[in-house]
Amino acid sequence: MRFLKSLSTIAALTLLSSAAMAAAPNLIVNGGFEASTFSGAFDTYSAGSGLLTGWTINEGSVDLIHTYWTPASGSYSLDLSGNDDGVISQSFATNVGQHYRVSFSMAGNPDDPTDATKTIQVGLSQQPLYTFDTTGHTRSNMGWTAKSFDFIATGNVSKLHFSGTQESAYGAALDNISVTAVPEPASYALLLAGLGVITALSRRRTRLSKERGGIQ
Amino acid sequence: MNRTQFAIFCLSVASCFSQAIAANLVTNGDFESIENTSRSVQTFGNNSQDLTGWIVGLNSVDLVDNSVWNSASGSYSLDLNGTKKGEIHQSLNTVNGQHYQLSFDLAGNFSDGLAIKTLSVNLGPNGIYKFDTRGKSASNMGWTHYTTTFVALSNSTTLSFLSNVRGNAGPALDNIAVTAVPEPETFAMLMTGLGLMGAIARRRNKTRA
Repeated sequence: MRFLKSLSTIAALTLLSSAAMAAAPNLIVNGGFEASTFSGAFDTYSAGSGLLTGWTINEGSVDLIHTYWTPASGSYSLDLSGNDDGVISQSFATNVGQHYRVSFSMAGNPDDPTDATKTIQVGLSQQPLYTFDTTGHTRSNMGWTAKSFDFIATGNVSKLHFSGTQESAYGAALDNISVTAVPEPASYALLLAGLGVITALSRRRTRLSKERGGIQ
Repeated sequence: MNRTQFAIFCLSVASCFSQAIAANLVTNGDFESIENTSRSVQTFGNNSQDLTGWIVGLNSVDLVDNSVWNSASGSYSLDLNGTKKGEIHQSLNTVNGQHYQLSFDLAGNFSDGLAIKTLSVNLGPNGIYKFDTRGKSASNMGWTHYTTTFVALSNSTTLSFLSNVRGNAGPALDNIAVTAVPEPETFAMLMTGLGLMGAIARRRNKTRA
């Protein structure tokens, strides 16, 4: 019975810690691009400017969009091409081996119908490229699409990047970027497998010693 | 440790070693698999599958031989910009939860005024790599070796290299490799489970005695 009690305590702790991780906060600073007081239609920020709160603009430039088109949520979103393709990135602390979920909303600048397919590469994703077709979309009907993928951290710091590829001023549109920790069923399964193996072994040992008249 | 426990331990250690010497999962990561050897520069366009093992996902890339510049090893390397910024990708057969090491050699096409060549890679915790071509030449490319790690989340993982610079002179790539690496933390987790139950069993035996 004591063994069963220990096991149920472990199970309860596992469930509790899963629940705690499921409610984990967004690790990305300014993932919705709302940390701004800019009141115009859009504003262009270049690499090295430090003007996009929380983010590094590694290459090119980006447009912070306010009233120019409808964001996925809030008041602001991003055109990954300012005057040219932008590359933006943000580093955040991660626990090695922890499972994380990245999600973001994607659309595209609809102003250049001759280059309708917007393509980006996203860091930490096991998919090569993400595309969005702006055909039929307008600045008031952007067609925002939710995308998500998971990764397991292999460093104490992980860097999420979004790289534009259009070679023009009309890029992919981004909003609601988040990274959250998710529970890891596989690890718990492994721990339980370990518990199972040793239980079987100790049971066998107890049985054997009983047979040999060791434990009465 | 009894005989059964020792056997489990030996199996764990053996599987670590077998993973450590695993083969390169990338096909033609050194760009040496080539059919036409008569041209010094060959351009592969968007969606081309003529670059053995790779898919060109954007614009075009140039396969360059040693008469144009020295590859990191062998006879060929890749300029990730053909006429514009190019991208190449390849799907790898992976094992869910397995750790892998990705390594590659980076240099840059030094022939235009844009000195800094930036490349982004989708896998690994630091996906942006820069190469400064200043002072570099065909015989002194300055090839730099990079390694990073990732954990596969399914039986197929796609590796992508994207040029982040405009124009026809891009980052240069050679010797792309992905190999499985052992996973100490997984075994540590299993051992923790074993240890915990061992302690409980021992305590129970002691109480009974």
